[in-house]
Amino acid sequence: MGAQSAPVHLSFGARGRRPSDAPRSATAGVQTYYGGLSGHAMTIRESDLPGVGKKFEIELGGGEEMVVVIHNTGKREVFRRPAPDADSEKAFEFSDDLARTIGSIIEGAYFQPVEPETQETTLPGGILLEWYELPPGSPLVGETLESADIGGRTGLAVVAIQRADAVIDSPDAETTLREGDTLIGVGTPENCAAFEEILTE
Amino acid sequence: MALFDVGVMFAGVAVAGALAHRLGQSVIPAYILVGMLLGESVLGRVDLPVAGTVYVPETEFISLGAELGIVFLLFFLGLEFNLDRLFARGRQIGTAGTIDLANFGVGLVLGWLVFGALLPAFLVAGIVYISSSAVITKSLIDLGWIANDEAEPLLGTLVYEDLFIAVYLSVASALVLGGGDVVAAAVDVGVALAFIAGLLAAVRFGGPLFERIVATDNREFVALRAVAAVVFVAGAALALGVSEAVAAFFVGMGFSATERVRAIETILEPVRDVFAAVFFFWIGLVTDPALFPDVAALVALAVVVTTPSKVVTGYLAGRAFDLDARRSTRVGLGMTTRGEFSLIIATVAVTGASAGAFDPALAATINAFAVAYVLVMAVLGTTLMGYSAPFESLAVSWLDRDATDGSGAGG
Repeated sequence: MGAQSAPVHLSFGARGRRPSDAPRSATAGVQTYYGGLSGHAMTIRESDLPGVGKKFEIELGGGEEMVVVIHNTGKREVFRRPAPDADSEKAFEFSDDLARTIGSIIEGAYFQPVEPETQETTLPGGILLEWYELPPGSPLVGETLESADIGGRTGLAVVAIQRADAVIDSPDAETTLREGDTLIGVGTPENCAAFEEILTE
Repeated sequence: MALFDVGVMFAGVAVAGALAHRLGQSVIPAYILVGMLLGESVLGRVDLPVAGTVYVPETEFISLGAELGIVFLLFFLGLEFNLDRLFARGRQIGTAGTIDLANFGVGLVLGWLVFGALLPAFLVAGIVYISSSAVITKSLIDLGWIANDEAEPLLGTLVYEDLFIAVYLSVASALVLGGGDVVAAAVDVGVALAFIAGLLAAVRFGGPLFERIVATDNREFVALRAVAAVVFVAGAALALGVSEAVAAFFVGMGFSATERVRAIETILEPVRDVFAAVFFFWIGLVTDPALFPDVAALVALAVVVTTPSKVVTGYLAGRAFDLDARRSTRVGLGMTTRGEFSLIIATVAVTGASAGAFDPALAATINAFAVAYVLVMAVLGTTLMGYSAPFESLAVSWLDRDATDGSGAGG
């Protein structure tokens, strides 16, 4: 990534946590956000184009990038860049109005094909009630709640485990975690973020 | 008749612009050429069968419109100019822009060798140094390079040049209007720099004032007030003997920090385009192509020397932004385009001559040089950008091998 642009790392988990929930560091022109459960981290680089407008470069995975140029006039241009060092190929051009409409279609404001897999509920005081599914290969699989020491390591309290159709409420320390379990936890956004890290690493 | 002259002028630039667009070329050379064709020096020398001799004379309206064109071009430069943005990527833009200054040195040497005097050399240096923001930005968008990494060094270097040219223009007009007297020139340069300092202070501390001027939802009032502010200050500057272009630049900078900057740009863009076209047409009108043979050698020399020099400094600018050989080559090719600002510098000489402070013959020569040079460089630069592929392969095969060797030796 060239140092000429200000990279903004946005990491969206399956729960669709808004990036503004968890800003962790902000240095000159660089904002880094963490968060996300099955987190494919998403990098967006933003740069100024003096006299033209702004440019956003969005990594799509596999080296492919989408480049959005927003002109000061309101015109949007969307480019596809097949590889990081390839030339950008112009795909679409929209007026300001059309771009906003298309944006809300993509966002799912008009039609949502799937229910969100997991959800979060905000309790009074900014405490979150969250659902986490244990992915295959998670280091927590096979651990008991005691040996995993989730509370000690992350501050997140596991209040229930959903296993197939059954729900284990108030699971005790001897409960062994299995792949596919859904853990229901309560904690601050920081606790949740810390848990997400140990969930996959 | 004056209204008809203006009508012919606008019809001329409209047709020329459409033609240039169809040929995939920049409109600027087309506006200049049509001005030259319809003016006294070409059409005025032709004896038409029925009408006799008819041509578009340099009416007061056209020269005033040209002056407004300069004011609006620089005003927009100021609107887009953002000091924070310059500092945010200061190191890279600073490196790229400073390397680019080598072209000014090249121009100074070239001008000194040809004219043997400092002031013409100083003007030639400015003319060959400054790349064309308008043409380059347009080409970047047309070619889709705007979405690539080469856009940042190109636009960044142009921002650096813009700041340089603001200071340069005030010094140049003070020197030219000073009429060669060293003491008078020193005083004029002092006045010009003091004026710049005053404008900078106004921009720095006058934010609320600029904000209040355009604090209205009425588009008509936004347009009128912004135009009033920039033309009033530019006119006052000229009355004080300071460059109106520089004053317009700083007024633009003052508005760039306001919330209404986008509205001002959207509303006034057509105004700028109309008067900028008048400016280019006027440059054509006052240029006598009969002088081209006299300056042909100088133009050829300048093209041969300053095209490669811009390619090299542009290439290094790309490298300063960590680009590879291929993209850095594009930066170099793109930067070769010269345009509106070279002509504005030539106008300083023309204005000085009509004020009696500058040798008219020398001013005509410098103007003819600038116009011919811009005609070549605008077309050449646009063409080089459009057909950049062979140059890129060449650069990659030459320079990437060196880079591989270099990295091998280094690690």
